[in-house]
Amino acid sequence: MFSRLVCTVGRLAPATGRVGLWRPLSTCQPRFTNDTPQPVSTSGRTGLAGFLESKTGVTGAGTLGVGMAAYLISKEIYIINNETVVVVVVGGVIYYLLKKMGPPITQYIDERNQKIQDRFYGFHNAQIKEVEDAIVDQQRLDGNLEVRHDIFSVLRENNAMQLEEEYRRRWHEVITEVTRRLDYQLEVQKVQKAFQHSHVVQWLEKAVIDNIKGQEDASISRCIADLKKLAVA
Amino acid sequence: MFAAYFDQFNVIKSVIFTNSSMMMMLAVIISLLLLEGNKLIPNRWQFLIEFIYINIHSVVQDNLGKVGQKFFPFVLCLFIFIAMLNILGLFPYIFVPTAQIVITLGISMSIIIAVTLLGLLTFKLNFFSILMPGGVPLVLAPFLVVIETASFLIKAISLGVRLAANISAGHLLFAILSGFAFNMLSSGMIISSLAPMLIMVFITLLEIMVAVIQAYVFCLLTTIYLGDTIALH
Repeated sequence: MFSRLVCTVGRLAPATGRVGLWRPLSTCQPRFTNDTPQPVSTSGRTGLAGFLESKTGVTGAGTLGVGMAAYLISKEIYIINNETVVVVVVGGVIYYLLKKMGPPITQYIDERNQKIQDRFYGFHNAQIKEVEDAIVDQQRLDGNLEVRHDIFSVLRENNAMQLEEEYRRRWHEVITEVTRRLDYQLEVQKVQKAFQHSHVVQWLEKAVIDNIKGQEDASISRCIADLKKLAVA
Repeated sequence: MFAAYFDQFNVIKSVIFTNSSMMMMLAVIISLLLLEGNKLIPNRWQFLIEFIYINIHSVVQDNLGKVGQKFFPFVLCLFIFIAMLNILGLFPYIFVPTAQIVITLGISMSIIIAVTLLGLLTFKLNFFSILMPGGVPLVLAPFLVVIETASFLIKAISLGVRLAANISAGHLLFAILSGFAFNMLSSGMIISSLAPMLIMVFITLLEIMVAVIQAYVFCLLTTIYLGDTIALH
């Protein structure tokens, strides 16, 4: 009963820093488990320091060193004397030189080695580059070839447009010519009609004039008389 | 008190080897392991051996020419051996064989004896013409021959003593300054002890340069002395 209570309370407790009490069904020693998450290493150490860090954690190497030093000094296996000063000074100088001059020297060495490697791999790399350039050219050529469909369709459309244009031009020419001819015919007919009209008018005028020839005086005096009558009215 | 400073140069025999021979074996092993140069594209450590190779080769080429290239392996090994011993000796608690006069005199005397024997084999009795500089009046010949003979014999001693004196002087300086600083620290004068420690920092930097330079000077002089086996005057 109490074990179920403890398990329930343990589950309800906050996860960080929880110490869970696990008691199996059979009577045995209680086992404590620590659910505290382990710190994640971000130092990026390699070699012996990395190995120690993987096994003992971030502070493992330091704890080992300090503990070992404390043990050696306390047991008087290592006696602190004037040589210890030499250890400190020489160790410090070597550490400083490694930290200060190490990276530029290693960078110089790596660049030199890379140049040697490039010299040896010069022909090999040149061939690889040549092949890569050929691949790029081939891909560009393939891309250009893909455009031929578009070019053909453009040419086809261009031809169709030219044909259409020629057709319309000829159609327009035909229309113009026909219109011109029709206009000519129209004008001819107009002229004919004008001639006919003027001929008829002249004939009518001649007829009327011939008809009223010799009756001019009588007509005029009749008109005057009528006008007088009208004026009197 | 002064004797304590020289205790660091004591040769101690343990089981089979002395500390001196153990250090020399260690220097050879480290040189073989670290300075391996068999890669076509060098890594960082191979760059170091290539750098040493190129410089020693130029020294041998400048002083001995093409004929003297047979001495190049010897000079290169000599440089690496002495430089490695000197550099290893910079670390605390490590015995430095090249501070021992017996080691350096052994090497230098061997070299001078070899030069003499090689010179006699090559030039026979004409080898002794190096004791008479060219262009000197005959009146001064007796005195100059004596002086040149003494100079020739002292070469052996000076070559060895130079190396031993420089290295042992540096280590003695370390011992004195560190003793000084340790006494100050023991007396509670912590701030004051920074002065000798600061001087030790500069001495350390100097000793690092001296370690390499003395090896280079030893090899350069060896090369110059070997020149007498190739050409007289």
